[in-house]
Amino acid sequence: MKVKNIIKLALKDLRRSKRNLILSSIGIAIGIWLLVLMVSFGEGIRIKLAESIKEITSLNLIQISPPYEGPIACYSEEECKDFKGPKPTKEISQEDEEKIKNFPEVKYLWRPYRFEIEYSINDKTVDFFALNSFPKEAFDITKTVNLIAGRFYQNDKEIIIEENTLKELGFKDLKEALGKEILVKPYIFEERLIKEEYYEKIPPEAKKYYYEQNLKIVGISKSSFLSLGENNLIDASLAEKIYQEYLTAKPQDILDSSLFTLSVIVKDSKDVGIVSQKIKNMGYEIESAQETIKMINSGFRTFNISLSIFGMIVLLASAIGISNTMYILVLQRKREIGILKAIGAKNKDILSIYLFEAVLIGILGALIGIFLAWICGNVLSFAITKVIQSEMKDIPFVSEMKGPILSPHISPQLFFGAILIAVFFSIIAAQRPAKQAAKMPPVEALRYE
Amino acid sequence: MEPDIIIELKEVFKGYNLGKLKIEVLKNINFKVKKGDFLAIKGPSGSGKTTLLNLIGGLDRPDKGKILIEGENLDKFNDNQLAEYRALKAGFVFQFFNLMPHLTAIENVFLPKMFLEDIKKEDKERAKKLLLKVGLKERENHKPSELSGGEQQRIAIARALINEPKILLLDEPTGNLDSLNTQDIFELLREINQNDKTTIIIGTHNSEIEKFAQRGLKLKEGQIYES
Repeated sequence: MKVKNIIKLALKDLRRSKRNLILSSIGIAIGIWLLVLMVSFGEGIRIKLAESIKEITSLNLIQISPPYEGPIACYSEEECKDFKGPKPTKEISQEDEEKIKNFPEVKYLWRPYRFEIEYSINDKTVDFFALNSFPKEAFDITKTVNLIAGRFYQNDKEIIIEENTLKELGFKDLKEALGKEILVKPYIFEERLIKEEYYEKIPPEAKKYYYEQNLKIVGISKSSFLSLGENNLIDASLAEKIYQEYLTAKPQDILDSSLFTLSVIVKDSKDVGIVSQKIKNMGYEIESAQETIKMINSGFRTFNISLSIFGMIVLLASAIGISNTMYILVLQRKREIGILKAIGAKNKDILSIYLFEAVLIGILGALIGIFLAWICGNVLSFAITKVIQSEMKDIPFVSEMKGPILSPHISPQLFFGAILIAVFFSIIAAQRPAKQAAKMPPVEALRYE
Repeated sequence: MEPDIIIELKEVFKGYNLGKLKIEVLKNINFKVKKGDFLAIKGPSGSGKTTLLNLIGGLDRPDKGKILIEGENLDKFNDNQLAEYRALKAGFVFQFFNLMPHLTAIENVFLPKMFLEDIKKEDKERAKKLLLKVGLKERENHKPSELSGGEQQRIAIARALINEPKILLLDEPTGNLDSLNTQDIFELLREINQNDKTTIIIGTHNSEIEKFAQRGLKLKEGQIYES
C-alpha cells in the first residue's frame, strides 16, 4: 500500500474520532510541554552564560596557571586559622614563558597584573576599584575591551576607565572625563588592621601606597556585570613598572601571585585548542573562554537530560493513555478491520494505518505542547524579569538591562527533538494494539458486531 | 484441471469449536464452477452458506481438503497472497453491506484500489462508471448513512467490482432488502454475469434467484447437492 494512501485513510479515520484524537494528543502535549519548558529554560540560561563569558573575555585568550594542591575549604576553627586556600605547586618559569611566547600560534603573552587602586579626579576619590593590565598590542585581535567612547591607549601615560568607576567619581556626562588626568594610587592593605565592618572602606592606616601617578583618560570602557573597575586598563609595560614597585612594597610573607599566572593571546581563536594542549603537556593548567563555554555546554547537557527525564515520565504516562485509546479504537473498529481485510488489505496495511494514526497523535500533541511551552516560557520570563528588575533596581546593571534576564530558548534541535520523542512514544504505545488489529483473522473480525 | 473450470472444491471439511463441542459445518464438499457461471447456493440459515463462501473468498481456511482457484490451491497461499487474491480475483458482497461509514459512496467504491496503488484519474472514472452501472451516479458523494439499504448494497457490489475480479461472491445480498430491491439486485447481477463474463456465486435462501441463476446447489446438513 502506498504511503499516500495510508496517510489518506489514517486522516479520514482520525477525523471521525476527534474526541479520541484530542484526548490522546493532550496527554502527549502535557509531557512535551513540561519537557520543552524545562529544557528551553536550561538552554536559555546556557546561552546567556556563554554570551556573558564571550562578553567579558576573549575567545583568543588563554590563562595559564600551575596545578594547585591542598584543601579548597576549611571546616574547623583550627583549620581555618592559617587557611589560605590551595597552594600552587610551582612557578611558571622564565624558560617556559619564553617557550610559550615562541609558539607560532601565539600573538602576545603577558603577566596579567591586577592592582587595588584609589582613583582621584576633581577632588573626588573612590576606593577599592581594580586596575588591570592589558597589552595595547592585543586590542586589534580581541573584542574583549568594549569602548563606549574615546580610543585605546597608545603608551604608558594613558588609561582606559570604565563607566562605573566614572559614575562613582561623579561624572554625569561620561565623555567629559576624556582627556582629563586621573590620579592612580595603587596600595597594599594590611588585613590585620581592617575590622570586618570596614571592609567596604579601607581605613587609611591599613593602606600602604607604593606608586602613584597621573594618567590621561583616553577611553571609556563598558562595565561588565557587577564589575568594580575590572575594565580599568593600562598597558602591560606600565603594569610591569607598577609591579616592580609592588614587589618592594609587599610584605615578605605574601606570595607573589604574578609568578603563577600568565595570559596568552593566540592569533586565531581556532588555535586555542592546540595551544592549550601544548601548555597542558608542559604541566600547567589552563583556563580559556572556549574551555569554560565547553564545560558550561556539557554541564547543561547533563542538566537538560535530567530535566528531560521529568518530561519523559509524563510522556510515559500519556503513552499508556494512547495505548488505551488505540486498544479502544481497534476494538470499536474490529468489524471495519475485517471489512478492509475482506476487500484486500494486507496485515501490514492495517498496521501502517494504525501506526500512522499514532504518529499523527504524537505530532499534534508535540506541536500543542511546544506552543504551550513557548507561551508559558515567555510569560514566565516576562514575570521573572519584572520581579528581578523591581527587587534589584538599585543595582545599576540590572536596571539598565534590556530584554528579559531569563528567556527560554527553543532551538530547532529541541523543536524537532520534542516531535521525535512524542512520535517515538506514540509509536511504542500503539505497537501492540496496531499489531493486534493487523493480525486479526478477517472472518473473526467480520463476525464482530 | 479442465481449462474452463475456475473454482474446484475437493473434499472440503470445515468445523467450529463451540467450547468442547466441535460442530462440523461443511462435510466433504466437492464441486466445480465453470468460468462465467452464475451459481446459486441455496439452503436455510445455518446450513453453512456463509462458511462456504468465506472459504472460496479466501477469508477463512478449510480444516481439510483443497480449494483450487484456476488450479492454484488457496491453502498454499500465505496471508499476503490471500489478501492479494481477495483484492484482485474475488470480489465479496455481504448481507450487511459492510461499507465504511466515514467514506463517501465513491470512496467506498475505490477503497480496494487503495491497497494496490495510487488512485489515478482513471480509477476514479472507473468508480464513477460502476456507480452509473449500479444506478447511483447521483449519490457518489453521499455517506452510507444517507443511503437506503438497496442503495448501500449496490455500492457494495460496485466496490466488489472495482478491480475487475473474475469471481464475485455474494453472501445473502438481498437478506436485508425488500422484494423490489431484491429484483433489482438480481437483475444487476445477471447483467454483470452476461456482459462482463464474471463468475458469480451467490449464497441465498431467496427462491427468486432461480429465475436468474444458471445453476443451483443446495446445502443441507453440511453437504452439498445439485438442485
